[in-house]
Amino acid sequence: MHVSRNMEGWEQTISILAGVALVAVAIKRRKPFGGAATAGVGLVLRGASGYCPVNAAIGRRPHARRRDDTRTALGGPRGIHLRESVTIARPPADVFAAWRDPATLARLMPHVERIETTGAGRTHWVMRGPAGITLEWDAETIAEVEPERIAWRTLPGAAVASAGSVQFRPFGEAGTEVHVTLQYDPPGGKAGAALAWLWGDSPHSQLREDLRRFKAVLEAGEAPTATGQPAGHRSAAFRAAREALT
Amino acid sequence: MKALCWHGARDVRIETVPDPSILNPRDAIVRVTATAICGSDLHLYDGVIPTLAAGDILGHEFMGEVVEVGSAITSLRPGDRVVVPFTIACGACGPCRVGRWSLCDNSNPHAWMAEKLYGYSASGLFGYSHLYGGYAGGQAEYVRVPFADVGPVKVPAVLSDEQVLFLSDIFPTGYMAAENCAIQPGHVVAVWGCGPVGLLAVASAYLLGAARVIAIDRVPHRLALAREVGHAETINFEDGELLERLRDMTGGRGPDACIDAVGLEAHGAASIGAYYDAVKSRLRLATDRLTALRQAVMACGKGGVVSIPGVYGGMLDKVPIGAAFAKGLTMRMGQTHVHRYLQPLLALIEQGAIDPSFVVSHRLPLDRAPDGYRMFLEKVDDCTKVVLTP
Ligand SMILES: NC(=O)c1ccc[n+]([C@@H]2O[C@H](COP(=O)([O-])OP(=O)(O)OC[C@H]3O[C@@H](n4cnc5c(N)ncnc54)[C@H](O)[C@@H]3O)[C@@H](O)[C@H]2O)c1
Ligand SMILES: [Zn+2]
Ligand SMILES: [Zn+2]
Repeated sequence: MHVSRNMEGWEQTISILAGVALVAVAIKRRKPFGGAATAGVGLVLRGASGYCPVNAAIGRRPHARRRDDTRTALGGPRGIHLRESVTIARPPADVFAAWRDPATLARLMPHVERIETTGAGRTHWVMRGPAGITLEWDAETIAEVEPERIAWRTLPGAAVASAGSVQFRPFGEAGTEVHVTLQYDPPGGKAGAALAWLWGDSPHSQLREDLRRFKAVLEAGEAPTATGQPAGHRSAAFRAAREALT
Repeated sequence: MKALCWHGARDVRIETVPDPSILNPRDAIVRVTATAICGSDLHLYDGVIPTLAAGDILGHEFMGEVVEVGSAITSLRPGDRVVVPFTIACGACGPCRVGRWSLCDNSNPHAWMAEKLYGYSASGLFGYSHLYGGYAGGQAEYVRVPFADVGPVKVPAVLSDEQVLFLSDIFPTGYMAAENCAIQPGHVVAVWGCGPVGLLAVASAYLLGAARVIAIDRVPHRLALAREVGHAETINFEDGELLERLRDMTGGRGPDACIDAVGLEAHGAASIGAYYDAVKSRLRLATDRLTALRQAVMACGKGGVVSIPGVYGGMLDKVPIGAAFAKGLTMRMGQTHVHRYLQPLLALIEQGAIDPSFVVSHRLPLDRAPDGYRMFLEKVDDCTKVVLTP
């Protein structure tokens, strides 16, 4: 894996956030886009949060649908909505800073090939998928309040239109509640297949695992692993399952 | 290296496997000098704990010599002689910071599995299924120890392996079980199970000031140990009328605290409940048998504590929760916060206040671990605790 390290803080922020957003995209198109179920989940989640990063950033005017535009793909009840949170035993300033640190990115997103700065507040992402497929997109930060909140979205042309926000709320004496909200437009075709391969088929659990690793790295300095430990003779089924996971 | 690997219910084998290596900066590699088989291992041996895979290396009670440390470890050096807690804890998360080491947020790489079953995940454990992290265990020549800067405790050379080995699990487990009883002067504590955990709970209850301890089992040599070494009064539950006898022995009050040091594979004394459990677990409607827990709740005096070090893994049926409610009982349970007890209990051993090695009945080379499992399960040849030396 190669991660470019010559970026400024805000660029890292955008990159990481766009990346985390895309982690959520690991879904095969199970439900027709804009279907009632999707819309319902979206509405419930938005209602519960009282905050919609996309609406906050871009308003709600109805547009002709364009799937690569976050405004139209994700505006209102459209797209898939995810929420996940984790509590970290570090103060908000530390957690905010870590979220912008390239080392954090490297630990969270193993498939990132490179990230390029393309302009004010904008980055270009390249991720490696199966069989030489690469996924590319541009992203921008749409809000940043240190050390409380960051919001982002992808720009037109993205393989997957997505947007999201993360809030850092003080908890207890020196802790932080991290609340992530994500919206994305599930892709079909090659991009969808590549993303599904990259992240398995449950975007919500992937997001949870990424936040779990983020927490572990911040608190313990490393994420736990049992991969690479010795074992006795494994069954064929076990070996096949492990291969499918790596 | 050689290691004891699980291959299915009642099928464990010594295999030659690759040596462990440092995988994270806070890891250490320990050359095992002594390791024990635990009652918890018997639950794995019997196949009643889910998510074990053929080839998994078992063992969570072990000690030895540090042979290699990761780049972030400064508190340990090769050559240090250490005992390793069976619970793996990072030392930095919310639970660790308040001393709830066995509830560490950051040590189970398979936390998602535990979350599916239990809502939230406890800490990772050595050699105790993939649900608890899939960590290779210590019934082997070498073992990788994560978070080696907070777990392992250095032990003085004057103490033998057998004197300190049980700091890894059963001594802290027996001690925490007794501590959870909130013992006051004059209290009577009843302990179900005279296995190593029960025996050390008996000893710990006295250390914590119990006036009397009553130990319950059905295995004669274990009851004898509880009586002769533990100074407990004993009851063989197969003699019947357990609850009435406990009532008589406590002047009609019932014990002030009851400890279930048996867990999910309790033997029933031909009760309807035991028959019901056996049928249900065979039909997979319930997973755990709970004769001991039921009795502990029923026997416990008003306002008392039921302390549960015995392991449970799944669903229980016919738990007398009404009795617990009516009598205003407190129930406390969980994997032991081993790290919390290492220094204080090591001090007790150094002072000679206790020598936990009294539980050891068999010493075998690692090669004979499969025999050790069989003997410990069947409790033949007065087997109480098996220590293996690689
Ligand atoms: N909480 C923890 O962190 C922790 C740590 C270590 C062990 N444990 C658990 O503690 C329990 C005991 O461990 P051990 O090593 O002493 O096991 P063990 O199998 O040697 O001892 C269990 C004893 O209970 C007796 N018994 C069975 N049914 C009984 C009943 N109905 N009433 C009274 N006694 C009965 C058995 O005869 C046996 O002597 C196990 O469940 C083990 O998994 C928990
Ligand atoms: Zn144990
Ligand atoms: Zn921890």
